[in-house]
Amino acid sequence: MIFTAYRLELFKMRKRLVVWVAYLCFCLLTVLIFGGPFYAAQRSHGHGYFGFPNALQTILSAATGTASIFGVVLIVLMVCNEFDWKTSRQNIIDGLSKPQWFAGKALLIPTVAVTLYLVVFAIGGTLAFIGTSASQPHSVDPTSTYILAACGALLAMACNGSIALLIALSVRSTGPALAAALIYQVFDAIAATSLRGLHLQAVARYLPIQVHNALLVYDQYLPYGSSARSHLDWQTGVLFLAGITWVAVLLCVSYRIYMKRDL
Amino acid sequence: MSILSVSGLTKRYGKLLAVDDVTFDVLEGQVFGFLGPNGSGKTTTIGMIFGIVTPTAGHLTLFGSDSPKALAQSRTRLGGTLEQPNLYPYLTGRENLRLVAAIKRLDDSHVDPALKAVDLSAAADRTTKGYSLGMKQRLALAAAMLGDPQLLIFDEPTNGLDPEGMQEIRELILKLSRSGRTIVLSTHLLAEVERICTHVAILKRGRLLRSAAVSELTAGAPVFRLRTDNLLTLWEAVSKYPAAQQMRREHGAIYTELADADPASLCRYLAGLGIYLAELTNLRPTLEETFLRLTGSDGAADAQAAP
Repeated sequence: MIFTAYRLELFKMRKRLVVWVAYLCFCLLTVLIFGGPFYAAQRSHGHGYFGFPNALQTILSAATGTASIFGVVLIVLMVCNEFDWKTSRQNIIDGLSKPQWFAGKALLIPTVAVTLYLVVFAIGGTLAFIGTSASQPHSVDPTSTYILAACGALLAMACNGSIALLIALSVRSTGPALAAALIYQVFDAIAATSLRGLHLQAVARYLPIQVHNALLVYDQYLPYGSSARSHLDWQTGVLFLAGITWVAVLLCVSYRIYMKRDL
Repeated sequence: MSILSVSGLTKRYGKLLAVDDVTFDVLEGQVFGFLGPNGSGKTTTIGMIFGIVTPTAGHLTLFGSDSPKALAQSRTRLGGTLEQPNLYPYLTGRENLRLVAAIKRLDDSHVDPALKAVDLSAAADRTTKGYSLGMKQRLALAAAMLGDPQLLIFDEPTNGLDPEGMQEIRELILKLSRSGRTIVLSTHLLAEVERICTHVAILKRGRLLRSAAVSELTAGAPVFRLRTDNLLTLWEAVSKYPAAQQMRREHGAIYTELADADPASLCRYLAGLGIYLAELTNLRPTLEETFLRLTGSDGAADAQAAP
């Protein structure tokens, strides 16, 4: 039945115009993000390069912050409207259990993260493919770096999506939830700065958005000892663990809030 | 056979006692009206039956099941709506029903007959955003009927509808009732309950005031109003009639209770005396009068007699 709930979520997502508008806006922004380096490389007559394999680093990291924000917006839109229209309660009346309903919504987080990342790959990859030239000197990072960077970006989006789900299930109204989710991004940054000022760096770096931001940094996944990584203070394993823990904690808290409150 | 049994059901929101120790039974085949002024706890009670509101205290038995797991299973045998038609505005009528069918584990072949039953086939491929309230109510009824549930619960199904829309919904509910389904209907419209329901529970401020058959609530010693050209002659004649009790004269008419509840005999008796009545009206107490008597003036302010 969880599969049915998820299938229905995909059906609803596919049918909502606002979802398509959000994806279209994200596509346009992604074109702008990759279009800049691509255009510059095309006009530089050999001095710049936006093609494979060098562009992989940019493709894997340049648009992920924007993707993460769009993920938050999409999750809030897909969850809060169910309370605005009271369809969440109707789904339960019709026979879906509350855990199944929650599972359907929670599965939207990886779905949104993967689809947004696919958009990034499609647009960035297409431009990089056009710009690829055999005569250019190639800069290739280890395959593990690319894989870890992609996983890190997806985990970061899942982390931000989980924050969005928690806020959406707590606030239950689209406008205020969107505002709260976006304000939280700023709040987290300010809280981290304040904590660092109080010499609580260890606490500050583990705040959800700080972990999210660290997960989006491509250099984080370069081999240990590389100069680009020297200024970063996270160990990849610990960073991933922190990200997974935040996703799990946020989902558990969201679940408890959803189960405890009447519809 | 009891389909739904509620015992001591209570819901408290902080200091507010929304539902206070409500107990009633709904038997198979009944059309059970839930009557009360706005804010009397009807929707909260129904929410608890549907499992979307957690009771603070009390016991609920649905199709003989009362454990949480068995209740969840039993809830697949009930359908209905709460407060308003809860539809996805960006989906068409057909897509809304397909979604409900998927939740109820039915295939799409059930959708078209359901749309036809509520006369929405022509509008099935329009988004429900553009539906009138009456169409939304009908679609919600179709959704509730999917899977042929044994118990249907409708909360204010005619709310906001014009008289024609109300009539359509009433007829649909009556049709469902004639097909043998048990129906629980929450409303604050007294006429609706009197026209549709076999049994009624009256709530006020979360408390159950009375639960009985509609006929029982409206029963009582029948009072008759009699008028003729010569009221004095009529008074003298009726006062000698053995079954006449509690006579009084008001506004140019005579009011009397008839112990034998047989107005035809009274007519024959009066005709024998050469008195022919201009009016003989049975003033049986209406549900409205019973409701107002039970709920007092507060209830009267919120409940509406007849649209």
